[in-house]
Amino acid sequence: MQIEELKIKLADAFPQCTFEEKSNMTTILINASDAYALIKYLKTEVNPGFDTLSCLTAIDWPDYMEVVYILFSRESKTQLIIKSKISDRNSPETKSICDLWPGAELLECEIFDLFGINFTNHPLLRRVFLGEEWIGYPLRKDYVDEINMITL
Amino acid sequence: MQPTVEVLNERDYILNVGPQHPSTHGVLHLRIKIEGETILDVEPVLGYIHRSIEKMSEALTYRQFIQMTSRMDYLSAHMNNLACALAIENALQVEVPDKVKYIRTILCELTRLASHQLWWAANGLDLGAVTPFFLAFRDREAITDIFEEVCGSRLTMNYIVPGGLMEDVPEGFADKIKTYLDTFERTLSEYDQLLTGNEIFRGRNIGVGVLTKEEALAYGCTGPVARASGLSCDVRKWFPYEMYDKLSFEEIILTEGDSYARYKVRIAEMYQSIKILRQLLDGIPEGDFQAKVKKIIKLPAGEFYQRVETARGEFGVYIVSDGKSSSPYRIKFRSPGLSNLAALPFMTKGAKIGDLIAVMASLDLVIPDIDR
Repeated sequence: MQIEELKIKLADAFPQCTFEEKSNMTTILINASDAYALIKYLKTEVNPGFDTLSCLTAIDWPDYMEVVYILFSRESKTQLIIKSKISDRNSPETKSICDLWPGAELLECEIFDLFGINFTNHPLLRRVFLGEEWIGYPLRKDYVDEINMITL
Repeated sequence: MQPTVEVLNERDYILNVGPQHPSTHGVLHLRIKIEGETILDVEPVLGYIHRSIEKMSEALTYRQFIQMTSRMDYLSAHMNNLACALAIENALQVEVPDKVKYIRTILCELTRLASHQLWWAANGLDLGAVTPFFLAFRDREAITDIFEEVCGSRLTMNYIVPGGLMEDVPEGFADKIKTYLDTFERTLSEYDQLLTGNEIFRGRNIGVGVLTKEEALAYGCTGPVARASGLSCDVRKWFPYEMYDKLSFEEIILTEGDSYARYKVRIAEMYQSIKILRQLLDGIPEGDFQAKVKKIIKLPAGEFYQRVETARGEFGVYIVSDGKSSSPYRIKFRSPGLSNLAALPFMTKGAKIGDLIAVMASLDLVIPDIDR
């Protein structure tokens, strides 16, 4: 399935998502509350489905957060970036996609550890790198560590 | 740290493998729950060498942060550098000279050879065979000598930069590699004689740590680990970069999915790398070693994702630029090691402790790549 065809289909099934063509891939912007449903739809209902989770990460913007999923369909050789927006920066929360890709488990732990985004429905969410006693979330833009930070 | 592998009853026995165990190749710590010799559960405990390279990169310029990537998967330093350089070049829409493409591809394949040699050395050592270690290090030494001559560094290269190369290659670069390949092709057959057919080695690897194609995809495994399970995932074939679409080489795919298949994939890949190098060495064109790129790089606002195939699998660089600053707003490195490690608990459930070591050796993990 080509991107244009997919866009028409998505406009029907998920009218709340918007598209962006700022990079070498198509980006879909959606609210975190609908992100899980969209990704599940792309994996299971679209034919050929997006069967590969290439990358999973997050971005901290000044007044909101985004979880970024880079998906790839091996059959149609199409790539997609899905950016799920979390408006509440103080207690960010979104639904885990571990049941779709078990490989997401460690990646979501990493995001939880470094950004403080809580993934509901995650089998074992833990601070996988820094340990439970670490204070703060280093990859947030407002995190300050006077001693260890490298600045120009 | 809060224990996450739960102790269910007093008969559960938790064993810590690492972080200083020699077979964990660095500082990987595994908590394993065992009953007798049988593994019930495995939990990787990470972060012993976490430097937060992504956070540091946000404070460095586009030319500076590339130096960090040599320190992640230090056995694939050239490839990591290349991924960043390609991401920046694509964002700036810079076309590099043909000569640069040739040399970059040559360096990447040499890196793959050196990395697979080190894996082979360590794989033998992990299973109690000491000779492979010396044999492979002898071969690897010659490659690091070539790297040293090219860029002055043996491990952390920083030679591939946005727009081209740091400097031109020295005279006799191609001839030196050609001579090396002739010698190495002969010694590579010794690898087979020494380990591939060894009865003990086969016994410890065949049928151990089986991963099916569907599971490899679900866990996000890439590289030789996934290809040994029948999953085609070579970035050089799927998303060709530099010279790879003009070269003839095979993507090695096996279907057994066990440790021995992973072993055979890497051995076969070494032969393919030699084949690739032979196609390139005679045709290096004359020309500049750099395209024109500004000293201070600023990327247009947007996001850029670039993948390359390192010796361990798909390495991805995801750059988010705000369009104003000369350093990335956010950068994410998708490391192949973390995803391959994610499959380890699954692969070793129900196996013996000795199998865990064999499976870990066949995954070819580099811990700084996992922790970053």
